Amino acid sequence: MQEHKIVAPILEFLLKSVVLILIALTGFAYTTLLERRFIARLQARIGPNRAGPQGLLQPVADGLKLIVKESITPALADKFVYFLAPAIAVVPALIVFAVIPFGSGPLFSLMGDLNIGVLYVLAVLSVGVYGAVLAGWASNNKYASLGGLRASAQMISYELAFGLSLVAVVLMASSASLNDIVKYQQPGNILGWLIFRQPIAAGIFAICAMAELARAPFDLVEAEQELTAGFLTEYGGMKFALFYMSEYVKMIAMSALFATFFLGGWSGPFVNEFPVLSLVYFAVKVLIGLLIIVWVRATLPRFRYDKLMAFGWKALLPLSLANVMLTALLIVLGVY
Amino acid sequence: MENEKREKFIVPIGPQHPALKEPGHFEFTVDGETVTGATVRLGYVHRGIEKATEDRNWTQNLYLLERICGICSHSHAMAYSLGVEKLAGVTVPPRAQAIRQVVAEMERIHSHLLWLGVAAHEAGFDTLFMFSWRDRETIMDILEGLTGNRVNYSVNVLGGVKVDIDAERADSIRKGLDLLEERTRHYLKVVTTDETFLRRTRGVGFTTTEQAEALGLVGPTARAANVARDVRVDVPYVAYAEFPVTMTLDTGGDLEARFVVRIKELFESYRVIRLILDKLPAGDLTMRMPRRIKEGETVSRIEAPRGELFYFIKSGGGEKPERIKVRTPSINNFALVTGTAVGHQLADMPMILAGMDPCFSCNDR
Repeated sequence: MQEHKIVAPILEFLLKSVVLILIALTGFAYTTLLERRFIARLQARIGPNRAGPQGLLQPVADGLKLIVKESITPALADKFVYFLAPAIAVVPALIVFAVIPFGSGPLFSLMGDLNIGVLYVLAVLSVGVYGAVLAGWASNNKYASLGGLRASAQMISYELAFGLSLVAVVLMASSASLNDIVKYQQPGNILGWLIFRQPIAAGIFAICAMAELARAPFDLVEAEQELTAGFLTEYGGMKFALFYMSEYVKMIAMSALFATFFLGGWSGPFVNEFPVLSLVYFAVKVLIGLLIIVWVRATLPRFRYDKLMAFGWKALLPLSLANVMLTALLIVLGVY
Repeated sequence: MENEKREKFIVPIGPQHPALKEPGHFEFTVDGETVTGATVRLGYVHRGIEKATEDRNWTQNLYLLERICGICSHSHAMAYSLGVEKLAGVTVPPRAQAIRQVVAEMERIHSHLLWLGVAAHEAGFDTLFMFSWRDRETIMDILEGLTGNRVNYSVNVLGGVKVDIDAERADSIRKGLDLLEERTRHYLKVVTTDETFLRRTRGVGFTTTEQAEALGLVGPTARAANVARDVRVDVPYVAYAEFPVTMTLDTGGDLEARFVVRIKELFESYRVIRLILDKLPAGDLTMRMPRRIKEGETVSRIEAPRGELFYFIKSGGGEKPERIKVRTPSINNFALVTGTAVGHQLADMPMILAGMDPCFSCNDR
């Protein structure tokens, strides 16, 4: 009896983790395809359509290619850190999914109801920046070190506004649990979504999420025109694939977080009658988020480094601070 | 000591670098993200073409010189033909001159559209890059239909041109130009109104008119700084005297102005091509050229898409030239990069470089 009480929860966690990681990795593979096909459409191109029907096997082909690539380590690289950096980048991206509620009911979220979910998200996401910094430093390459420096400066400055936008959400829901935040947004009533009640926070969150992801238009970390590939310059084969994976898994995670915080998470009509629908709603919201991320990339040119930093510190940070104060004031006054 | 060390952080760009599609080497000394010094080294694609002309006869050289550049191939062939014809004292029929001008303006269209794509790509604006290159296919198709080739059109022969434009061909060209004109209007709107893009171009790589003069800039890069310098207007060649173009000037002097000038030049090219198609002079396409060119030397200047292209041709009276010297517009404009780099962000460097539309292949020959 005693044994079961210990073994069963561990097994449950293990199984859930494996399923979750598999989903995240498949999601990663097909997000790359989705992005390439969708951006090709936006740019009046066709995109990869040769491997399998509609290019559906393209991610497999890419993966195989990267796996069989020769693994090269630069002669003067700090070998230990050089190998460690991709792992540091990819692990936080994967484990952030642990607290995201994918559907109604405890079954659909790995850690159930973690009461400091928001803190967990912020903590885990901020570890990711070490991957970029260490990669840039360990490669012992000028482009890589500049890319790593840019990465650290960019992610740190946007993390502040990112966190503050979530403070407003936590104030509204008066809970830091992601499940509570979803429930607070009144499943079934679209006006309850926080994107309508906290539009400023939602906007700041979206911009900062892009900057955290270091994706276009904030992709100066790997601006190929200036820094070849930034901190990725010296990486190849599976080590490169891990960085790539971390970027796309994070993209899914950010999209999922946005859906959770601002789009009512898994809520939608008939969720109580058919709990499975909640999964579908959530998936659709995440997909829309991903498409918007790709759309933005196709629309905007890259920011310049100094403008990016100025924007983060001089515009987003004061705005998010003001938003937190305004929200707090409105709550005290009883408007919300 | 530490400061000294930091100032010596040199970021090399090229000869192999994703920002450069052709080989050239730039060294930017940076302090943080700010550029404190810039040097350029050229000559990676030197092919010895000038020397090689001395071993080939006058006709063979036409084909060799056309291959100096893949983008402005017609400009080189035309500049050479005009020079040799001048030496030989042959007057080319007006119809041939007009067709030369049509192809030269088409080349300018395709070159400027290509440049627009490259420059947008350097700014990380890949969608504009894809769009402008897709539209460039229209003019490439027209050129292919007219001449049979997409890149080295081989329109010129010494003493005239090989291809003729009939009414049917003229109609298909007009149709293509209509489409391009509409698209170009859109691009002009994008580069002058897109906020994020303007932040990358406005005030970047700025030169005053005096600085541009001092640096010896040529072509659209100079005209963007209000330097009135355009061989087509100053010394009309081929049919530019009968079908004149107006010079496109801008007072901005920065990257934005370079975008605007080049795009406005496209409209001018569309206009003048239509004008020529409507009033194409009748007559022969070629004049007979002698095998041996009279002894003497001459200079031939034309306005290539990137600026003034200069040919010096010297004949000893034989079947082969004694010396041919080419000076391409890029060599003048490289001074812009080294001259304006200091004080800019590192991220501006590829933009400034792309803004002068460098052609390493022309430059190194």
